[in-house]
Amino acid sequence: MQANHLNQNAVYEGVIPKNDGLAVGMRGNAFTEPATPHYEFHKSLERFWERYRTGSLKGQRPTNAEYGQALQEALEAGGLTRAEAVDLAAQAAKQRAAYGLAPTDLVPRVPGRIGQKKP
Amino acid sequence: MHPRTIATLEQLEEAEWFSHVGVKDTTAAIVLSSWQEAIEHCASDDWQGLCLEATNQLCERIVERSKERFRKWNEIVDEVKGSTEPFVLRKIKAVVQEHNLPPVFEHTVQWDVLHVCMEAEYADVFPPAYYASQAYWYVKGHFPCGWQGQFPKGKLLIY
Repeated sequence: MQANHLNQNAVYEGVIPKNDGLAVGMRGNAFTEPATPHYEFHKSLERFWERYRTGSLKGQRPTNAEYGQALQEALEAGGLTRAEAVDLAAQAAKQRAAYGLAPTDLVPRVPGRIGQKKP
Repeated sequence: MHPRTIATLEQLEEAEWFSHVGVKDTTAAIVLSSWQEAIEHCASDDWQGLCLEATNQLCERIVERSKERFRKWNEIVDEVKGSTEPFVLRKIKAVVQEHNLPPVFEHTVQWDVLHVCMEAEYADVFPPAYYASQAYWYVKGHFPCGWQGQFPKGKLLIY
């Protein structure tokens, strides 16, 4: 089981202190264990970010709301039910708001690739 | 686009890109010896991660100074890409064809030139730095494509 920040530290580290970041425990290693919830969670988020690194949105930044939607989808990809994912994504949005990050604001950082081992 | 950005693109337009690749005419960077090496380096997660981090740093400095201006980031990216994408395609066409260079080469150059322009667009908020120094090597006829060592220690790799 690994702790998993809902508001990714690599994205929000300058705004939300790592130790204050909401986290959820997920089974598996995000880098080396394909098909585990933690790996699938990050695989989903990596797809989201890759659009801003090399894809059609290259150079742009998503809004916090768009990140929130991607987070919800990643939680579902990690095996949570729709209701659980919606609830956690809402908590993450509330925390972002508490740190002054509006839904329409652009995210401060696009994280680098995490280098997941291929299945 | 801001007149500063237009002037930057004009400077890049006047330069003969890739005219000095492989020429060891500097001690300020390590000059690679082949396109193969250059492509391996520019395609690496390390180099792409470093360039992405440079962009993140730029964005963070802009947010610190003007949230209002940063909100226009995507709008400006769209506008600038309208000019830089065809411009880069035209400038790299010959070298891509001659050396059969892969798509990652175009991606790297597009990314660099886009962000040279983004630094120019926001130069009144935060002074151009990382990508302006990349532009210097394009103007000199080289291709900046990697880093040797642990950034910021170490040295730039160019072809």
